[in-house]
Amino acid sequence: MKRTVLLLIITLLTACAPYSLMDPGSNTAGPITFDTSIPWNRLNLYKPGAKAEMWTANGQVLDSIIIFKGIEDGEALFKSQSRQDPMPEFSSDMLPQEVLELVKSSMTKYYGENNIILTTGGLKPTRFLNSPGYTFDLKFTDQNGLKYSGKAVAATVDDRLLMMIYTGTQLYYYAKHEEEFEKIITSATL
Amino acid sequence: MQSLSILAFLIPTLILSQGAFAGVSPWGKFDLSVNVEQNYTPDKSTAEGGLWMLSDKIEEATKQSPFLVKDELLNKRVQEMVCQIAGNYCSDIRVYILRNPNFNAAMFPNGMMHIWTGLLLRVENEAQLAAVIGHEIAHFLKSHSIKQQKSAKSKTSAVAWVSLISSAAEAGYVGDIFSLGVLASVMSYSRSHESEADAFGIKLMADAGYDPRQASLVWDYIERENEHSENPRKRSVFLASHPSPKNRKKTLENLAAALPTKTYLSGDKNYHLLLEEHYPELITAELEKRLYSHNEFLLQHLKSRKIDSIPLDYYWGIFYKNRGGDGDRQLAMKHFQKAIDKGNAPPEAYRELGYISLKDKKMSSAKKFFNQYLELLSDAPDKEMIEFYLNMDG
Repeated sequence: MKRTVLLLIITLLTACAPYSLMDPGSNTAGPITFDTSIPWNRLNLYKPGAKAEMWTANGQVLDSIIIFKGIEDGEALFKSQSRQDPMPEFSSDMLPQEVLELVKSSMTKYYGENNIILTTGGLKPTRFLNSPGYTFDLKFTDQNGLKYSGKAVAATVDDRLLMMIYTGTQLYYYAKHEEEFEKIITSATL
Repeated sequence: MQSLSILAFLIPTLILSQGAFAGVSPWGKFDLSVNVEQNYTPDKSTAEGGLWMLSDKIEEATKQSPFLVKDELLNKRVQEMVCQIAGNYCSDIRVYILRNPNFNAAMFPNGMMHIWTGLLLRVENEAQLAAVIGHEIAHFLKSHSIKQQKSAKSKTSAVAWVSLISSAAEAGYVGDIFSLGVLASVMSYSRSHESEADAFGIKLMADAGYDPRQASLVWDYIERENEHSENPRKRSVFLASHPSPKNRKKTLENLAAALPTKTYLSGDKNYHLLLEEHYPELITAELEKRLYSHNEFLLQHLKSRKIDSIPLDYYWGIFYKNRGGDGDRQLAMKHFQKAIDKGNAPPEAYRELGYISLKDKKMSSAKKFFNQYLELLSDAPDKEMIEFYLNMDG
C-alpha cells in the first residue's frame, strides 16, 4: 500500500514537473515531428498560448523556441494578459506579411508594451513542413536593455498556422543554437 | 518643510476675477500656496527621505531605460515648457519622455516627471501639454506624495507604494512597474489633492502664458476615448489614478473663465512641427494595439485636427486591414489609394494594395503595385517576399 502511495506521489510529482527533458533525436510538439541534436527542456507549467508550447536549452530568459501547433481561424497566438486587452486573432486567409504583423502585435501585448521594444523584418519565402512557408526576423530589447534576436518560420497548412519562433540573447545564446534551430525547421514534418 | 506662499502674487488676480463674478469665483476654495522650498531635499533618515531616495533609484534606471525617447529637440522643448510653468522651481523638476502608446504622466516625490508618448499623440497643442505638465508640477509643489504618505487613511497605500517602488528600483524594472499601471494606482492621490492639482495646474499654465481653456479639453478627450474603448469599464491608466467626477470638466472650465482675460498661447503649429517626425511611430504603435474601437476613436480625433503632414488615409487603411471585418478590405483599399492620390503615402501603401489585389486574385494588378513598391523602396526589407510574388504565374 505504502509503495502504491509512493508511486502515486512520484507520478504526480513527475506530471507537475516544471520542465521535461527532451532528449536529442526525434521529438514531437503537437502535429509537428522534428529532429534535435542537443537536449532541450519543454516547459510544462508555462504555456504561452492555448496551442503553443515553449522549449529552452539554457533557460527561457536566455533562449527559447515557441512552437505553435495549429492555430485555427479566430484563435489567438498567445494568451491574453488581461480580459480588457484581447489578443488579435489569426485568420486562415492571412498572407505572410499579415502573420508577421500579427506576431509583432501579439508578442508586444504578451510581454507588455512597456517591457519589450520589438521590430520585425526580413520576410522571405521558404519551405516548412514540406509546404510553401515563410520566415522573418525579430529583434527586441527588454525593459533592462537586454537585446534579443529571433527568427520565425511558419506555414499555413489546411487552414491551420504552424509556426516556430526561436529567440535568444544577442550576446552569445542566439548564435549558439541558431544552427540547431535550422536543423529543427529543416527536419520538421507533419 | 517650509511653506512658501505665492498668494501674494495671486491675490490681485483673484480680486480681479472675483470682481467679475460677484464674489462667486471658483478659485475661492483652493489653497494655492507652495509647500516645498526651491532645491529642497529631505533628511535621508526620515520616511520622506526614504521615498525620495527610492525615487532617485527609479530615476537612475529611467536614464538607462531603452524606452527613453532621446530626440534632443523634443526633450529640449518639453523641458523648456516645464521651466516656463515651474518658474523658480525649474531646476527641481526633470522630465523624461518614455515610449508607451497609452496616455499617462507621473510625478515622483523627487521631482522626476514621466510623460508617455501616447499622451503626446493625444494632446492637440502646447497648451494641452502645458495643462498636464502644470497638473503634475502642482502635485510636486503641493508635496502631495508626502502628504499622502503621512495621511493615516492612506497608510496601506503608502506602504504598498514604498514596497513596490523599492522592489522595482532594485530590479531596475522601470518599464515593468509602469506597464502594470500598478504604480499609478498605488500612487493615486486623494480627490482633494487631484482637485487642488487641477486648480493649481491651470493657474501655473495660465501664468506661463498657455491658454487655460485648453485644460478641460484634455480630460474631456480622455474620458470620451475611454468610453470608446473595447471595454469602457477599463479606465485608462491615467484615469485609474485620477478620479474623474462628472463635474471635473465644468470645474476646469469655470476656473479658466475666472482667470484674467488676456492673449494666451495654444501653440498648435509649434506642437505639430515638434511632433511631426514622431507621428508615424506614435500612430503605428497605437494601431499595433489592435483595440479597434479605441484605434478608430483616436484616428477620428486626428482627422479632426487636420494635420496635413500625417498621411492619415494610409493609417485608416492599416486600421481597416487589421480589423478585417466585412467590407473592411474594400475600405482599406480605398484609403490606401486615397493616400497615394494625395501624394503623402509611404511606399508601403503600394505594397498593401498589392496584397489586397493578391487576396482578390487580381494578379496583374498585384504585380503592378509590388513593382511600384520596389521602385520606391529598392532595399525593402521584404524584397525577397515581394519578388516571390512577382515571379508567380498569372
